[in-house]
Parts: sequence; structure tokens; C-alpha cells
Amino acid sequence: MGKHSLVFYKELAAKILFILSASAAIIAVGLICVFLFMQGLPAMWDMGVIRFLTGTDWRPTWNPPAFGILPMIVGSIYVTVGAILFGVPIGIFAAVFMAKFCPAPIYKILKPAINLLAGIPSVVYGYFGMVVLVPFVRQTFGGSGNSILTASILLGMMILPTIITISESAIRAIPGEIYEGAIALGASHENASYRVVLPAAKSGVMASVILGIGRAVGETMAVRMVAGNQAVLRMPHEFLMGTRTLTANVVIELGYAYGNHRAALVATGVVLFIFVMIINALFSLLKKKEGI
Amino acid sequence: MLKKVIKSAVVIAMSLLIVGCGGSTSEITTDDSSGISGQIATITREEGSGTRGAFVEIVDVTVDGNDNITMEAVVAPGTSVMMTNVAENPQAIGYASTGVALQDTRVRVLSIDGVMPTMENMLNGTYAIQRPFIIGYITDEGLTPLAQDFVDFIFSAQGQAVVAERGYVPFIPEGAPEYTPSGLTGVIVVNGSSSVYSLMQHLSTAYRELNSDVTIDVHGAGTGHGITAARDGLADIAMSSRDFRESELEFLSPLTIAIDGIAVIVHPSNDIDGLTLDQVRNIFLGEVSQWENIR
Repeated sequence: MGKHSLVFYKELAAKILFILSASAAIIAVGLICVFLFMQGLPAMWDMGVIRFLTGTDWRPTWNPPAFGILPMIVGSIYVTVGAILFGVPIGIFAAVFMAKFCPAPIYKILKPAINLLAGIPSVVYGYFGMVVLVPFVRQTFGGSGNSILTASILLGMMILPTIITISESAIRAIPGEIYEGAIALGASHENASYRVVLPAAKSGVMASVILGIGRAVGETMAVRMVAGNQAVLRMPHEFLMGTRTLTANVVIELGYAYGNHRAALVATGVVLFIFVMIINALFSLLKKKEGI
Repeated sequence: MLKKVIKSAVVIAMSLLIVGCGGSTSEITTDDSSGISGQIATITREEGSGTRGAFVEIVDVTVDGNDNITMEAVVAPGTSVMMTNVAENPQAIGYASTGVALQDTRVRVLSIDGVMPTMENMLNGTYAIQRPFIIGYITDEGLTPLAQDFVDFIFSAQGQAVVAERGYVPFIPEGAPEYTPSGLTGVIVVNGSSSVYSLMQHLSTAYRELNSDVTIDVHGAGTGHGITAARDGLADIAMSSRDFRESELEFLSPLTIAIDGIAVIVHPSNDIDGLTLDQVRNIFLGEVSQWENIR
């Protein structure tokens, strides 16, 4: 035997195991980065970055083809903003309700229900959207039903659990003294909750919103089933018309694409990746500033 | 105060529920006794889909040789999404393989130039929109003995009977040779057109009843995907619902296994019985956008 005891080797083995586990995530991100940028950036360069990003025609099978992803960039922004409009107010109010107003028996039902909402696979949301929301929007507002509005409502539902869960914990993390102090100064329960506790928890609430946005931007399966997927540049007032998101563009055509078309789709992935990186950077900035 | 908030929350939840129920139970049809009218909701398959490729080519929905299906058409990725979209939307018009469309009672199949896409009309060639179902393999490598045996089965009397049973036109309508099981074992991977997929599933089930030691992996990822998979060595056999392009014929050998029609489909409440090929073309080009302009 060497000079080290068995305990030493056990320690060493555990150390190596943990380092490997920790680096697996980093290696995965690194590999995806390298692969995506190596394949996507040259293609984007060849097509002309400006023309690719600001082109409004997406005609990949034409001769000559046209690869402009502006309609998809704008489409992704529309459905994400729409999801925020639907999901954020409902989510934050639900979080305040759950943290400050909810009677215990209702909480016992509400909490698992929200967790369940988070666990539903997106294809199920998509099917629900296709057979319930699409006809509902068509009958109520007109149009084909496959629209920016429908996708926004569906995404709003899908980001609810993220927003509610994280906002609720942020609100609960605010020290009780702050609430009690407000009450002591004569504020009502509602005033103390909405004017004192909620603002105190704003960094956590913002974090939940940003994570929700991340989910909305990246959502693919459900969106492509309800959004109509037309690669047409829409104006904001055309919210009853269909749109195609960056994610849908990649997933719908990747199976068929080869050559330049495939490269253009990978480049679409790069743009999406940059979108998500910006959102995550915002999240970390917020975290640093507020020290969540 | 707390009670008030709970009360109002309950009221809001209830009213949301009522609105939701109202939406799902209200009428779906256009309730217009004088027939279908209003905006046509054109629904198409995605670029690269074999069904779309064949449809565009046969109906000639092109400008300067390029696929010119209106950009306003809703893009349904996959046959099942297409069927659901048409089944749910009274204004819709779409297209799908006849093998699928004729068996789906949620949609109505239109006649084209007065001809319904029946087996008989496809065999005698009077139905205009029909295309071959093709399987392909890499020319240089040929088929493995096992894959060859499966292909022999497809072209046998038993295999072609499965084709006819599923509502497609067999490539060899009569006098195909009997198939005798070879006793081979192993795995065959088949990938490609989502339209051919369901037929291939039934063929593989019938084949495995005779050769229980063979596993057949059938994937319906789309024509283009299947061809890529075969080229990259990920599939033994590629399925296609359109003729191979010249660039594909450089490395692929095609075998036609069946003929399939493409049915033009609408919502069951739509009272139009048929369209001419030209009308179909104009609808999908986006030149006609109102149902009343068809009547």
C-alpha cells in the first residue's frame, strides 16, 4: 500500500466524480456553441448577414432561393410579447394571491395544479391549442384562427407556472418584518401586500418574467401547431393573421433541407441562440444588481 | 377584506369558465343556408413535403417553375396536423393523400373536374391528381439480402394485396408472384415520406407475420429526410411520395410500389361538391380568396 489511506482515495474518487459531473454541463454548452457557430456563421456570411437578417422573403426551394428571416424574427417577438401580455399579469397576481391571500385548503389544490401545468408536455398544449383555442379565436375574432393571438394565449398559459412559482417564492422570501412594519403603520393587508411586499420582491418577480420570456422564445412544438406558420412579415395590427417563429422555421423544414437551405436553417438557429443568450445575460445582470 | 378578494377572484374565475364553455359549445358551421361564403382558409403542407411537391407539380401551382402556393396559406407540418386543421375550420381547403383522406370522416373529399378519387378512377387515370409511392435505395451499395427480401414481399401477391386493402392502387394490379418466407433475420430501417409511412407500417406488419425474427423500423420523417437518411447510411430504404429529382437519381434507385391520389379536402359543412383543376390552382395561388367567387 502507498502512503495514502483508503479515505484519501475515496475523497479523490468523489472529487473526480463531482468535477466530471459539473463539467458535463459546460462541455455540452460548449459543444453546442462550437457546432452552431461553425456551421451557421459561415453560411450567414455567404448569404450576407444584413440580407439574411433583414430579408423579408423566405423562399428556400425557389430557383434562385431567397433566405430572409426578418418575418420569423418579428414573429418570434410578437408571440413572445403577446405571451408576456397574457401571462405576466395573471402570473404575478396569482403569485401574490398564493403567497398572501390564499386560504390553506385552496392552496392545497392550487399548488399541485400549477406544478401539473408545468409538467404537461408542449405537444399536449399544442393539441389543446389546435382543437380548442384555434376554433375559439376563429369564432370570436374571425380569421383562420391560426394566428399570432392564438399562439400568444397558448404561450401565456405555458409560461404561467414559471412566473407563478418563482414570483411566489420571491414574495415569500421577503422578511415578515417588512409586512408587519407596513401593517403597524396602518396599511391594510391588501396595501401591505401590493404596495410594500410585492415591490420589495420585484427583482425575483422580474427574474420569473425573464425566465418566462426565455421559455416563450424557445417554445417550438406547441407554437408550430397553432401559429399558422406563414413566413410573411406582419404588422402589429395583423395579430389575427398567422406568423412563423424562428423555432418553427427550423423544425418544420430541417428534415427536408440540404445544401444552402440547411445552412440557412442552422443560421436561423444561431440567431435564436443569440436571442436566448441576450435574455440570459439580462437575467444575470439583474441577479448581480439585486443580489437574488 | 380578505373575503372580498376571494369572492371577486371566484367571480372572475367563474366568468372565465363560462366564457370558455361558451366558446367551445358555440356553433362551428357557417350556418349560412345559401352555402359556403367568406374568406377561403387555404392550408398547405410545408416546403419539402412530398405531398406538397407532387400537388404543386400536378396542379401546376407555379410561377416560373417555382412553387408559388400563396404565402398566406396556413402551413400544416405533417399529415395529421393538416387533417385536424381542415376538420376544425369550416372555411378551410387543404390536400392530403387519398389513402388517408378517404378514411377520415372528419373531412369531405372533393371531386376534381367531376371525378372522385376512387380506386377505379385512379386505375383508369381519369382522376387528375395522382402520384407514385416510391421506395429508393443507394445504387452503389444495393439492397442487403434482408431488405431485398422485404422488397420482394412488397411486389408479391400478398404485398400488393396490402396496398389495395389500404385504399391505394397496387403497382402490379394482377398476377404478382407468390411470396415464400426466406427465414432471414435482422433489422431493416425504412425512413421517409409521412404519406407512405402508414402503408409501409401495414406492409411491415404483414411481412413480420411471415418472418417473425425480422425487425422493421419504419420512420415517417418526410421524403427529403428519408433520402438524406439513406444517403448517410442511416436507412436501408427511403420512402418518397414524389418522383425522385435528377440530383437524387444520381445516387438513388427508385422502385414504384403503389399509386396514390391526392385528395382536395374541405370541412364537412362545406356544400361545394367539386372543383376544376384550374379552380384548385387559383385557390392555392391565392388568386381566388372568397368562397362565393367559386360558386
